[in-house]
Amino acid sequence: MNPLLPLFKRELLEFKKHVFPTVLFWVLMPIVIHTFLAIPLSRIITMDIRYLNWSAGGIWITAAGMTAFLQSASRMRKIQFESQQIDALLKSPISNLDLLIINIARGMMYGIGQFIVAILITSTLNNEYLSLSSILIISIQMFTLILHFSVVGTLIGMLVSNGIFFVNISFILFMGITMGFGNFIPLKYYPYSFLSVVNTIPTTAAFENVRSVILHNPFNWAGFFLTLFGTIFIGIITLIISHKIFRKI
Amino acid sequence: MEASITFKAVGKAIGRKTLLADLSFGVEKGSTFVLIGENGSGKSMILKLLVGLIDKDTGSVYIHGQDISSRSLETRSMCGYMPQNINLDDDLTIFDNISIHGQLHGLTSAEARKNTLHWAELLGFTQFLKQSPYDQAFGLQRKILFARALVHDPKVLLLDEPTTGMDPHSRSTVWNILDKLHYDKTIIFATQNFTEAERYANRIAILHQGNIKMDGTLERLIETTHGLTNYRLKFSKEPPQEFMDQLEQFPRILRPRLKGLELEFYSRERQQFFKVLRLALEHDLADLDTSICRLRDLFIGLTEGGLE
Repeated sequence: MNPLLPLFKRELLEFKKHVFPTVLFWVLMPIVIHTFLAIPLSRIITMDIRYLNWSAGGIWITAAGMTAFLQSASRMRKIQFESQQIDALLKSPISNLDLLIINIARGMMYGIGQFIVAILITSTLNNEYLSLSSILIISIQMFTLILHFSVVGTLIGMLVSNGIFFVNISFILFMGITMGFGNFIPLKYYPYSFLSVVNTIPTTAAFENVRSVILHNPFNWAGFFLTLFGTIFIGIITLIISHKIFRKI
Repeated sequence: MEASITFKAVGKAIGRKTLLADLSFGVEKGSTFVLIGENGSGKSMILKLLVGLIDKDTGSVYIHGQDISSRSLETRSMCGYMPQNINLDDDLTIFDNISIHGQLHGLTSAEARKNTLHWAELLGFTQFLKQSPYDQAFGLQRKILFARALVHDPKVLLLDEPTTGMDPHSRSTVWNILDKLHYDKTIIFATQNFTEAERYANRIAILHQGNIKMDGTLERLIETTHGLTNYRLKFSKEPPQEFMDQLEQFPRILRPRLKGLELEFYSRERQQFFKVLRLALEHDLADLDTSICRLRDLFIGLTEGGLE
């Protein structure tokens, strides 16, 4: 039997156990971001289209990205540093890659769930209609971003044992996604020196692509693929590091 | 007999600290091999190394003829491992903890279910299967770990202090199971419980500072002491320092230690003991006890010295 199947079954069992708080979190997260971030900013920022419709992309990215990051990172931290379940897993005939794949898949599972709920909530709150093709294109872009945050979460979860340090990293990431990459504040408001740095990060273009669907603008496919390749690269680094960390050399 | 596990010149160091030093030994198929040693002597490390939780620096290790480095997936699937610490999954029920572990070792869902129920019944925790393992007593959590190690019917069973924290009834249940299993499985267990080691092991290895100081059957280990006897004298009041100074003059009285009102020493010669006894009678001797040197005494002698 493929070892990924029982590991995936384990994730489903955990999801089943925590289904109510998980769904509640999925519902609350986009509502909280919409209420406490998007609405106040809509009073300040002026643009050609309605701000709340424009910022919906930021809500999907923040909610789904942070969920994917937190789920993959906290699970990795838990099995490695808190409960030492990793010994039971690594003792089984599974490879480090299997363990990383299932952890990334976990982040994606929760991230995708969050994205679906977030898109339903923002569409309802903004009375926004998205065509099937728009949803499809947004989903492709979001899929890459959720994968990216799951991989980053797995790496951070593998490296950061200190709980306070992990909370700080999560907070910095949240601030970065919401305030630093043009998800809620258009990049034109930032100084040129900041933009010259941020624009070199492929993820910025991937974020921009999600908003491009809302604005009916052309995509930056280079940014999309660079984010994907960057994610694969981080994934390979995570795998290499795992060989040093998991077997406690 | 055919070898089940073979260690060849295995070395492991972390930084400048040597944890395993040129370790070589073999364990026959179907035997029970026990590792005893003080904390940090390398007992747990040997078990972790066998299940691939730690990499060795030098040497080779084989399980049923397969190198644990190049055929790690196969060798890991052959082993059942019970760790010292509780590392159960608190998001799953006791049943799922054991069943998922079985499935990770290649069992089908139905086989894993059947085996889980079988071991739960034998170990007496069927009624708790739907509960969280972390709501249970420590002894029961240890039994769950034991069941988890056995669920996939491994050829090699590696147990790290298996009965620690269990009540006498549970200990007895676990050892009865192991007694039945040892005919077709190789069992290695690490322990600090000398009584269990003497009772259940076919072979005993005494570990000290990452190497085996001595190994063999209990009888062979006892033979190496050449009739060394342990003596304990109890006094009604603490003997004076003068008595201890006189004791130091006896050349064949080994390792005399005064703990409160009890004096413990070793000797191979009865005459020496009689001389000490005569002296002790002058200092309020209340009781005495003698016993042939056992594993505990051998262990103390090897790890702390003083019995040469």
